[in-house]
Amino acid sequence: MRFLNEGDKSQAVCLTCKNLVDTTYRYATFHFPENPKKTVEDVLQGFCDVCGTAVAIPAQSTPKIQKELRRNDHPVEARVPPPLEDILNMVSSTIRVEPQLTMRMLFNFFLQEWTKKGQGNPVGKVMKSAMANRLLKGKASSRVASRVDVEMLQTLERAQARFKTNRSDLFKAVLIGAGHDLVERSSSPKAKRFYKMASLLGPIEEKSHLAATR
Amino acid sequence: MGFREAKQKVIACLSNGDFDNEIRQDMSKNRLFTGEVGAEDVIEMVKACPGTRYEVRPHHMKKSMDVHIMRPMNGRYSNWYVKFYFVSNSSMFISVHPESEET
Repeated sequence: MRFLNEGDKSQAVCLTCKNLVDTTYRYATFHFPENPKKTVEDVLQGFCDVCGTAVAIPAQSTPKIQKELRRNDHPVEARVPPPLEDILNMVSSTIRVEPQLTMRMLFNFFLQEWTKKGQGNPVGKVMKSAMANRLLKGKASSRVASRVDVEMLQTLERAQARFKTNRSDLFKAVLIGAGHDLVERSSSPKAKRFYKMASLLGPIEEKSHLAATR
Repeated sequence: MGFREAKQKVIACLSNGDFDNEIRQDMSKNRLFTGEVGAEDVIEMVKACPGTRYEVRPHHMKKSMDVHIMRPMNGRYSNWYVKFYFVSNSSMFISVHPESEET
């Protein structure tokens, strides 16, 4: 393992100078580019010798930043009709991951799918689907919750703005999407992509009716 | 530098921890940085990339520098996207994420 110290030199392409530059490593506060107010203290970074911009994070610094990324957990929850909680529990049981984390994985997966180019407003479409008509009839008496990091929280907020919806309907749309795409159509390419991603966390339930989708 | 040499060199860098992550606007596109995958996972991705799924392009800001793109075809990281360049005998990772995501 290479270990660097303050003053060590390297090179990198500086996105500010738009050129290959010499760099010097030093410990400083790391500002997340997506949200400069979010910081981690004393992180070794490579700085451009020309303009002073932080341009590189060496391998040894990433665990410290990752610790901060994981630490920032934010609770999110919604009241949904009970059949939607059943869908969550079904997927959770299939991939052997507890429901809170499963919900987060579903957000991650569906928001990535839905924000691909040329998708229009998939949340609107899902909420008007036949499945939504059936499952949204009942009273929203079940509570579905998850914990997300600040990056995911921002993703949820961006998705709410983009799809002109609220948090509660985003939960419902994702769970209806899961029911349609991952449970009812468990052999579809989309379902295969999800279960392949989920399998990275461990073995998928062997006896499940979805096992054939791996 | 050809495909084989690029592959061997990046695997050596990852094995030795001799790599950096580029600070870019959207760090979530680099799962090696966020910790969702580790160096050993990226080695697996690189090993699963056939020559037909390897590309080398000039860096968009420094044309004389090569940027290497590997898209593994087999295994659990099939269809991921790995983008990096070599500098000062180490590797600089720009992107490591599923190919389906917009870059």
